[in-house]
Amino acid sequence: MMRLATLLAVFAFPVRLAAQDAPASRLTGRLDEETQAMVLRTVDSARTRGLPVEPIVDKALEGATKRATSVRIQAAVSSLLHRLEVAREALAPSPGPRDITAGADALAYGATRDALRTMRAIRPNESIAVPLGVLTQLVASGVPIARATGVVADLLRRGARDEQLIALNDDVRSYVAAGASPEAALDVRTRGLNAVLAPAGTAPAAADAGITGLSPASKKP
Amino acid sequence: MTEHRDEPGPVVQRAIDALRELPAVRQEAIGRILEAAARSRLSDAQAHDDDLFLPAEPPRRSRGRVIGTAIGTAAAIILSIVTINRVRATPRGSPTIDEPRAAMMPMVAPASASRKAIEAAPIPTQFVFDGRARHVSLVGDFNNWDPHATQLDREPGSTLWSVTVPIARGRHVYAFLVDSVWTVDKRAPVARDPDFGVTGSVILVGRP
Repeated sequence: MMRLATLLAVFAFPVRLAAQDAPASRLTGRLDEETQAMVLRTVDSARTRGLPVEPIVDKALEGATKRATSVRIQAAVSSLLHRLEVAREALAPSPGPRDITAGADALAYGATRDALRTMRAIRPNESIAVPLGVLTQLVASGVPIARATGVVADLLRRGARDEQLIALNDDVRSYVAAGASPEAALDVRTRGLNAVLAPAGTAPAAADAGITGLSPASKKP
Repeated sequence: MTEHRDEPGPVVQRAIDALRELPAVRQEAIGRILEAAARSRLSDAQAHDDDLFLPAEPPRRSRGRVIGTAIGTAAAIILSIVTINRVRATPRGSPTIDEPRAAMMPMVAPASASRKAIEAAPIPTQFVFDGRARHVSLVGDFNNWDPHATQLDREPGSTLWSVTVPIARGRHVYAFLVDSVWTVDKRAPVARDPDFGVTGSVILVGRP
């Protein structure tokens, strides 16, 4: 039994240490010691609360690449930690790391906890990272948060797929770039998408019908 | 002669007639038989079910088997720890999961699990920069914002540079470093940056 315990200790302990050092190794050489120590404290805090830690490391690395000061990096990761916690609570009961991260991004752009709860309630068992990303981008395009939330939620209820939502967002952006108001662009394209989606409550039929993306003209960057 | 042999005698004929008369059907008896058959099937099934959990013979544990089991358990534990740690070390943009969260995740049906696996699968995404440069790289929340991680290749005889990167579904922020100068993608939406004040570009990934 002692041998077994020793064996476990020999193999498992360094692995565990390596796990704790994974964020540290990503940060090493990218931040000064003081900033790195602060970021790692925030990472530990996130881990203790059961939040994803990668977004925090990413935020610190983003700050490093953008040559932000230590103070700004500290403020950014602290703020993100708070948003991650709010997003996790709003997306309960079982949000994945990507959903929590997307929720935190949406909150940064003015989305509300209720908006996140609404999305989760419509798609309780699927990722809502893309719908939340579309919501964030619509708001960034100038669509009021309440309007954007209502439209995305309604489209989800009708069974809109992720690619259809992305196509909608691309179209709205191109219309806005051409001079249309964000809300008018959203209204027009939503009507077009509604025409190919099933009425709310019959979403599976719409999915089975093999409905495809809205706009063949929309492109990836 | 043969005809005589085929015709039964009066005694035999009475016996045949008596045997042809079926006894009255007793529903109660039929019910009892069916009930007994059902009981028999149930007990057989239980016996087979028990076979799945009980050893056919009394367990005999040799010292070698105990050590083998212990080593197997230890290997399983170590493998689990390594797997969790590897996943945690994966940069954003790839499927990630954190240990405490994994402990809280409920069990899901296989169909749901496969759908989640599909959702988590990175999608090859092309980035294109058009312009004169000596060197162009890509930085974003999918490659640790590392200026050296993702280089774009120039299309021979043109000013187009491109690279294709597998990225998880969702919204991602990125920029080009053109000869080490931060440059947004002119064809993509702008990502304002309240944290650091340096705008980037946004891509929504969700279409294979």
